Amino acid sequence: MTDNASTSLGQLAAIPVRKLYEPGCLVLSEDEEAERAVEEMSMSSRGAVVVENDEGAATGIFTERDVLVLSVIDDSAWRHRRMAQVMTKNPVAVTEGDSIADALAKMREGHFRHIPVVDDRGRAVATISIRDVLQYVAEHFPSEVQNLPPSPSLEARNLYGG
Amino acid sequence: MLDLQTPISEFIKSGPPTTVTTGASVAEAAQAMRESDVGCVFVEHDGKLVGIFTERDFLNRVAAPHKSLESVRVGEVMTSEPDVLRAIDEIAWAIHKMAVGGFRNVPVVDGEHRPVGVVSAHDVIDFLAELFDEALSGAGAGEDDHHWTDIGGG
Repeated sequence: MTDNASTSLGQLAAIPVRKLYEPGCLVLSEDEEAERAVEEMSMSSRGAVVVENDEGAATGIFTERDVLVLSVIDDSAWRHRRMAQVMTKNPVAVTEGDSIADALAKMREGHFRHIPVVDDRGRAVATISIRDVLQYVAEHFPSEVQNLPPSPSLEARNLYGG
Repeated sequence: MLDLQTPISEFIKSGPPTTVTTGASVAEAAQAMRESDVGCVFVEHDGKLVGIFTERDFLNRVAAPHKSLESVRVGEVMTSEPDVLRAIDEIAWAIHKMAVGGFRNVPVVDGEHRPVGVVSAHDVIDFLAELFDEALSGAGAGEDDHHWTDIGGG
């Protein structure tokens, strides 16, 4: 926060993604029921769960979007399926040393809202959300964004939706 | 050239917002979100925006408590009176609202509070990615020292 004024656009784009997050993410094994994912995401503020195999490697991702879509097409039966059956397999991921620009490019290309961060063994160490990126940009960058008052026309009244 | 002062009216890439009425079932709203491939629907009453219903709302207020999609009305589980933008507001506002409020979708309304569009986090990410591409490829003059505050005048 102290280097806001001196941060350039190019510098921001090249910053490693490890600056974006606190380590840790929701992780479930492939054998656990999907219901656990609903519970874990609801109890936390996170919108994605990483699924790992017996070796601890990230093999899938399951998001709040999946909860909605599965509920529409399958009511509640899917909740008792294994994570391996409902997850999106082989998720696109970034490593801790990848840049913010790398993460943005992957999110953009795949239209992802969440992307796992993996270590050199393929184990998930965090997830990055679009929200993480926007918050970092707003905190560390443009004075136009930082200096804006809370609302242009109407006050923010609720932190929930959107 | 893109800059943070670009009005939202020039920035919205999405089509007309997906809307439902307060009396619609959650099943109808969720189906609309699925078919339109969007992360939220706007909720109207008498043509005016009164709420927003998002994937997060669905998770926390419907899926987690095991509520029935058919019997629960959107008006019961929506987020009422969401924060909004107007078409003349600048992109910077959208980024600010999303960062401060944690929103992924911000409704755009007209003077009578009718929903006319939505700014999604993906729209903003597209915008940022283009700026990053320009900066990293050295497009433009003095890109290494290029501050966002300098972009505005372009």
